[in-house]
Amino acid sequence: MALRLRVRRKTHIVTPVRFARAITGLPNALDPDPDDRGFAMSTRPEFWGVTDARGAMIGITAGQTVEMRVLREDIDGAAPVFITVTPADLIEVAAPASGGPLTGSDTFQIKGLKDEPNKCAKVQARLGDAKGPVLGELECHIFALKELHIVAHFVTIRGVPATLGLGSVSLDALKKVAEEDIRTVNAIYRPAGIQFELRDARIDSIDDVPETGKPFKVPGKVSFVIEEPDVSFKEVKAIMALNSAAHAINVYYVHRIFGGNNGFAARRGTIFAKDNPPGVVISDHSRLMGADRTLAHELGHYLQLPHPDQSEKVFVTKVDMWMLRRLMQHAALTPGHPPHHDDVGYGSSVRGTGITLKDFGLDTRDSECAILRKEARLELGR
Amino acid sequence: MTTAAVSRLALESALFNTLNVVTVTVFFQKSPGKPKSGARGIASLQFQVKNDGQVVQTGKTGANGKIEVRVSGGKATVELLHNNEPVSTYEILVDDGPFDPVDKQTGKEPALRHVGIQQRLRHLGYQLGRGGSDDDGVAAAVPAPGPDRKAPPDPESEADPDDQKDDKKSTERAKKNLKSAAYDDLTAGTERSLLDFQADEDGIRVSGVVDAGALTNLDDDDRAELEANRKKTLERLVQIVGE
Repeated sequence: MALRLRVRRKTHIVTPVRFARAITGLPNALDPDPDDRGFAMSTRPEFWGVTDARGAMIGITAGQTVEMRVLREDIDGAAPVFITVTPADLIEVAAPASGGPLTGSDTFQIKGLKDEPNKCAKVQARLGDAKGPVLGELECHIFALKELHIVAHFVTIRGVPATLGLGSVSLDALKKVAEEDIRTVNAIYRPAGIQFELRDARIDSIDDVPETGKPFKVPGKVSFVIEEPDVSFKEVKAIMALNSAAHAINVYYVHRIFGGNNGFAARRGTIFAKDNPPGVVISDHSRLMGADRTLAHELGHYLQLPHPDQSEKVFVTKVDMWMLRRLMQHAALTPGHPPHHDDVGYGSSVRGTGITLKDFGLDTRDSECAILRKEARLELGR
Repeated sequence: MTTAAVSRLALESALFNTLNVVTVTVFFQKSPGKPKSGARGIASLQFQVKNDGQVVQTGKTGANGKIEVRVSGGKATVELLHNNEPVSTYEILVDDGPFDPVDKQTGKEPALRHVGIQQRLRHLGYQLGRGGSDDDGVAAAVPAPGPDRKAPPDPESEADPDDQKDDKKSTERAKKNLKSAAYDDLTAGTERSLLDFQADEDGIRVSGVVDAGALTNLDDDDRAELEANRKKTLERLVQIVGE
């Protein structure tokens, strides 16, 4: 069927295709969420390399195959579309064989081969065959894998343990849940070339706050009452210092956190990690919201990412559909009026897990992938 | 090559053929926006133009992806070809009317409130999805807004008096959180293309907001900033496309 173009002022621009995530639904390593915000490419971080593509941007871990989709916005659904990639030493088409023609869902697979400084790759959708006119382009950044270690602490506070939603609190059972969470976290971070490995898991117990010598205020809970000097930061600090392992990210699973929060991260360089090691706290309550995605969000904070939708004065200042797709968005408190705000590609009322690659000048909390990789490099050097 | 159908006339006939043909320019591009260089154009597209089912033009696009389409009687068909076979067909309708006003048309049904913005974005090649009388996303039906999204309740926390004052700001912030109906009358395609446009234009903050007045609980400074950004977005859109 013909596509109708209503031409005003005697000119009209047609952009036949764009690139998008291959599926909707929960995050997985095969189907990353590209940074398809706008067609302008913004300034790339140092050493990333640049192409002349104008469109979406994606990160791929070297050696990884990922799936993407061509969205036919202004071209016939039956037009033969082929995928080509360049340069051949950085990237290859894994499926379909010969790059096309794309069929059905218009998905294709590409494999990142190696991370080379100042070089990146380009994916092109072509009409007709592999030498046909280029309809649209995607820029790919291929990243060498950086592996960060996690030590999980399952903490009992004044006799009330973290259960991670289980009836049993055996170390093996808790560790298995933590490993499953980390698997999802790794799928989310795969486009940034970062992987977390559970190095150790421990059952820890604490009753009193060392700094005050007084018991934790509420059994099972890390409290934070700013007006009460004995509680204030001190319970947070006590948890962060508990049996802390060196050369790893310490993740403390507790039953509850102040204010009914799902998670909390003491970021290096902030007041929460001033006199104690940095770390992450995850509550049992986070199981209701997706504890794996909460962990991914808090690890983002640990690696220096802020909430992108937060100003000095107001917690949630931006609720557009792109913001809702971001891992670091403060999801729990967001209105979801239009249906496309309720489901941003991950399912109804499921928070997005996108990590931005582009760096739009007026958004001071952008370019998350570059921040993560820089901080991961520093973390590995510590 | 360009041809036009005419009637044969008798020698010295007082009758004549009138070629009521206008030429419009369609740019095929890899990304939207006014062509600032050849880099955006889709080169080497083989095409043919038909009027009333007759092929009247054939050719191949240059670096800027431009096709000068000769339109007879307000309509023409452009076909993209591969191996001389049509693979994608476009019905060209010439519209001499003005764009709708760019400001939100409050009082109209949701689908018609942002038609002026949609027409301009579409003119620039931004993709609005489907729906509407031309099935190009302009004036597409807007789904009914859903309820507020809320975090699952935590009975333990709700029963804990400390959690009501723990981190006092948390409670205050929750009350102050942005409440927004600003996006309720936008389709997904319209919001996305508006965001795309803002991201593509230097000096505009990416917010997707076309109605800062519908955002409640914002600090005055934040509201003023968003409102200024909204105005700048619309002004830029008008500046690029025209009224």
